[in-house]
Parts: sequence; structure tokens; C-alpha cells
Amino acid sequence: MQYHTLPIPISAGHKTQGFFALNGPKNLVVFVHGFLGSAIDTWCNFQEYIIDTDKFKETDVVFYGYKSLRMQTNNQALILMDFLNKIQQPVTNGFIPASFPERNYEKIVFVAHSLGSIIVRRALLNANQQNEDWLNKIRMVLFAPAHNGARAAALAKEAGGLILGVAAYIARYKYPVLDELDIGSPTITNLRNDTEKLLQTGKGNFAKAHTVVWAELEKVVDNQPFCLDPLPKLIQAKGHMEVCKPFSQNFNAPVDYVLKALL
Amino acid sequence: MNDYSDLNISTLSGEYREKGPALQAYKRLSRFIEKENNQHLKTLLRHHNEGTVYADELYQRFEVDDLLEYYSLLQVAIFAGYISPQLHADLKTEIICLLDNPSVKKYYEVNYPCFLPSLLRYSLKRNISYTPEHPELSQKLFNEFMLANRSLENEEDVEYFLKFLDYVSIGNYDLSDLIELLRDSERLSHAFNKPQKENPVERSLWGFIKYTDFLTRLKEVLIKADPAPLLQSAMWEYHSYWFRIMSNEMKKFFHQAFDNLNKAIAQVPREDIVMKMNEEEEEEFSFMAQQQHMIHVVSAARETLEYVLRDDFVNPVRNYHTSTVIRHGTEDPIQALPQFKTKHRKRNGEEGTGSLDNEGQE
Repeated sequence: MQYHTLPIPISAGHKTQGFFALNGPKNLVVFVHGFLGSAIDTWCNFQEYIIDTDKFKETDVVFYGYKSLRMQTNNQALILMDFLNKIQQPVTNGFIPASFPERNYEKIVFVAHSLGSIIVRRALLNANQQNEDWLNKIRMVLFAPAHNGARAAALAKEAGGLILGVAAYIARYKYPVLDELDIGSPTITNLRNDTEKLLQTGKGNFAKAHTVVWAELEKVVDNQPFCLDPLPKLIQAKGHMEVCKPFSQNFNAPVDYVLKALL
Repeated sequence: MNDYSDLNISTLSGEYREKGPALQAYKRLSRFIEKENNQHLKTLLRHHNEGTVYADELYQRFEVDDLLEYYSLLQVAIFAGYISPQLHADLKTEIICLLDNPSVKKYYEVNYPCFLPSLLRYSLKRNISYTPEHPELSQKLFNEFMLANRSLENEEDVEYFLKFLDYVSIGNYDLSDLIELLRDSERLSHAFNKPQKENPVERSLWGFIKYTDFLTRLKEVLIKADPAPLLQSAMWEYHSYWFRIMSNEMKKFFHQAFDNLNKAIAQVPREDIVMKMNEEEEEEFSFMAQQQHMIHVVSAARETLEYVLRDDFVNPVRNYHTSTVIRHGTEDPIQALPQFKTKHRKRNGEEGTGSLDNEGQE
């Protein structure tokens, strides 16, 4: 049974792809990858689970991509915010064919990995400054979030599952974004301060994650509580890169956490 | 059959037919056919041995290639069960009209052979139905196939690489320059380390790297497609034009190229990798393990190329075509099956497909 469109390329970010529900879309899930990730590969078989089950049949799913080496995180956040404003009306904004009904989402779930968590959080804070009304619909599911900083060297080691990573290694790319992820960097400190300030006013429920997932074998990010986020879920025997990937029926916790956020 | 066949067709055509080069090709070919401008079409779609192809003509032929790719994709989608083999009337008329034109047919059957457009044309003319093997698996595989293909789209470096493969010279460079670069470990290392990619050869080098990563993704899809050999074969055949050229022109250099990548890995000094680490991180970090990991990735890429460049992947599609024709009869008495021919690389002094100067390219 087919519940979604074929993957539709979306002209936002880098190689962003969308699977749009064929009937009665109520929800939107946006995946945002981390450092050196890519729109689809970071999530491994996630898209298979989504198109394979009727549990997502009323949900549009977007795998957002961006060039994590090229630009500062705050710039990436501005671009993401612009996309988030447009994706509220994907038909009007030309992301999907005009033959589809326009959307009016009831829930929007952001699923972010590692560096993606910083970009999503900052994009939402930016949207709040613009008083975007879709903020009251959102929930965040964060896998191995880097919002407390990351160990640059350990992160750099994650480069190179593909031959492009080898070429980047030979080229000695210096990955400027890694400086921004240092524990205590201005990017990290400002993100925390701005979130705290907002939450102290009693507003900004959107700035609290719905679910935070930590990996037991984490060596990259600093696993510390962040503002008013809930108690994290700990996934055993998984490292930083594996914690968000539903490899098989034996490990579908990532899918379950996203489904729970849609309830 | 899939209830959403028309919607799936409109999704595919919205992306691959109703805009960009494929649309231009459709308009141009339709115009020529309508005006019965056969000589012009014959000249445009000639084999490059009949006359070198330059700038404008080259671009027009690239547009035709994009249109043929769209028709090929429709045939793959039929095998995947994503669309019905009975296409709606307008599309069916368009495809038969264009693919049946003698010059167009010669272009994709004789000059630059590819099976899928022939198969689509034949199936449409004969109203041949098709029931997909393992429908649910097939639809999943088609999604993954599309996603793998998307990794190549809008990648300028890959375009440089594929143009070289297509015997196009850009400025004073062609495929032989890329091969020379891959064969020389010092130049290779130097090219990777340049802050800017200065010329088409350096861009095609990164294109080759990105294309190899695409092959890794495609390999995963092909392996998963083992239970559906016809779909597997069609997905491979969709890219076979490039695979055959890679096999003919580059395969014998691959081992040397990958050995040179390994040499380049070994030449990266430890201090370049660990310079930003504090003591604690440096203690935890194993430079040697990092190097080993990189060498492992190179070795996996080598295996991927060996796997994907196997030409027996074509057999199920070829056999299907043959058996279908035996069952349903030839289209017309003079129509033969497309013959696969391999193009031979031009030696020095001979002309290639065509040439683009750098200004034209940009």
C-alpha cells in the first residue's frame, strides 16, 4: 500500500527530500542531520519505516539537508527558519504539485541529530522573534544533541564513511564549524542563555524538547541537561552516530520516539 | 496495480520532464517531427564518428539525453509497480511519437545504445501488461533508487566527470587528463590539497569521488534488489551507459588510482590531524586507527566498483525484452533488437564526441 509520494526534491537547504502524505495530512516531521551528515544517509533506514507503515500515513515527512562544513551554525539556522516558514504551506510555495491539497498542520515534529539540534533550537528562537504562529504546534525529538558542545576531535573522526570523507581527510579540511561546537563556545553559550531567558518569562514551551535521546557509548557530545528539557532516554550499546538509525526490527527505538511525539 | 499511478507519473514528470533540459528536448524534437525536418534531426542525433559535435549541438544532445533518461525512468517505475504500464493517452502518444522517429530511434538504439527506451516503446505499442515481482519490496527499492540518483543531481563536479566520460573535451582537457592525474600519487595528493579547484580536471577528480560514493549507494540498492532481478537489472541498466564507458576506459586504472589514494592517505602528517586536540583528546585519539579506517573505506570503494561494473546485470532486462518480442512479435518487419556496442576510446589525433570551451561550460 502506498501512503506517500515518491521522494520529492525540495529547493531548500541541500538535497532536501520530502515524502508527502497522499491522504489527509495532519502532521509534519522534519529531520535535520548533524555534522558531516546528509539529508537521508544520517537516518539510515528511517525513510523505509516511514513509507512502509500506516503509522505515518497522515504525516508529511521532510529530510532537510544542509552543507555542514560550509557555513556558521547561526547562518544555517536563519536558512532553516526561512524554510520552516515556507513549508507550512508547501503547495502555495511550490514544494509539491498544485494537484495536492494545501496543508494546515496540527503538529510539527523536529527530529535532529547532533549539530542539527543546535540549528533547530536557534531556528526556533529566531522564529519566536518573528512571532511565527506555527511555534505552538512544534515538538522536538533530539538524538545525541550537541547543544552543550562537542569534542571537536572526536567529531572529526566521524568523517569518512564514504570515499568523499577520505578525499576530505587527504585535503586536511579544517572544518571551521568545529570551533563553534567547542564546549563553552559563544554559539553554545548564547543558545543556552537565550533559551533560559525565554523560559524564565514562562513562555517558549517550544524551546523545551519533547524527547532527548543519549547514546550509552557517546564520545562526541557532552551529555548534560539543557535548560528545562525532560530527563533523557538512554539507548544502550549505541554510539553517537548509531543512536538515531533504526537499522532493523531489532532496533526501532528511534522510530518509536518520533511516533510518540506525534501522539 | 498501484492506485496512485497517475499521481506518481505526475510527480516524476514534474521533476524530470516538465522543466529544464528534458522539456527543451521535447519541444525541439516535437517541432522537428511536426515539420518533418528529418535531415536536421538526423544531423543533430548523428554518431560522433560521423562528425564532431560542438557547443550548441552538444547542449541540445544533452537535453535529448535527459528526455530519454525520463522515459527510461518510467520503464523502471513500471517494473517497480509504481506506475501502470498502460500510461494515459497523452503520454503514450508522446512517447511513441518521439521514440519511433527513425533518427531518435537510431540515436538510442544504435549510436548510443540503451535498452529501456526501446522496451518502453515496444511495450506501449503492443499494450503489454506487467505485474511487478514482490510489489512492496519493489516500491521500496524504487524509492531508494530515486534517493541514490538524487545524490548526483546538481553536482557540478560530477557533471565535469560525466562529460569527460562522454568523450567531451572541455577547454584543452579530456578524460585522459583525469586518468593521468589518478595514476600519479603526488599530483593526486596535490590536487586534493588545493584550496580552489582550478581546472576541469580537478573538478572531474572530485566528480569521480562523488560518483564513486553514488555507486556505493546504488550498490546497496542493487544488493537489496536480489529477490527482484528484473527490477535490479532495470535499475542498473538505467545507468549502464556510464558503467560501460567506465568499464572500457577506466577499469584498468582503478587499482592504480585506489593504490594512489592509499598513498595519499599515508602522506597526511599526524600533526595535521591532531593539531587542534587538547591532551586528553590526543590521548584518546588513535591516528593509526584513523588511517586504517580511511584505507578500509578506499578498499570498500574498490569492491563497489568491481561489483557495479559487472555487465551481467543487464541479462534479465535483455532476456525479458527478447522473450517479450518472441511472445508478442516484432514491432515491424525491419525492426531489430537494439544491439549493444561499445565505443572505443579515440586515440591521439582522432576526434572525440565533441568539445566545450570553459566559457561555454560556465
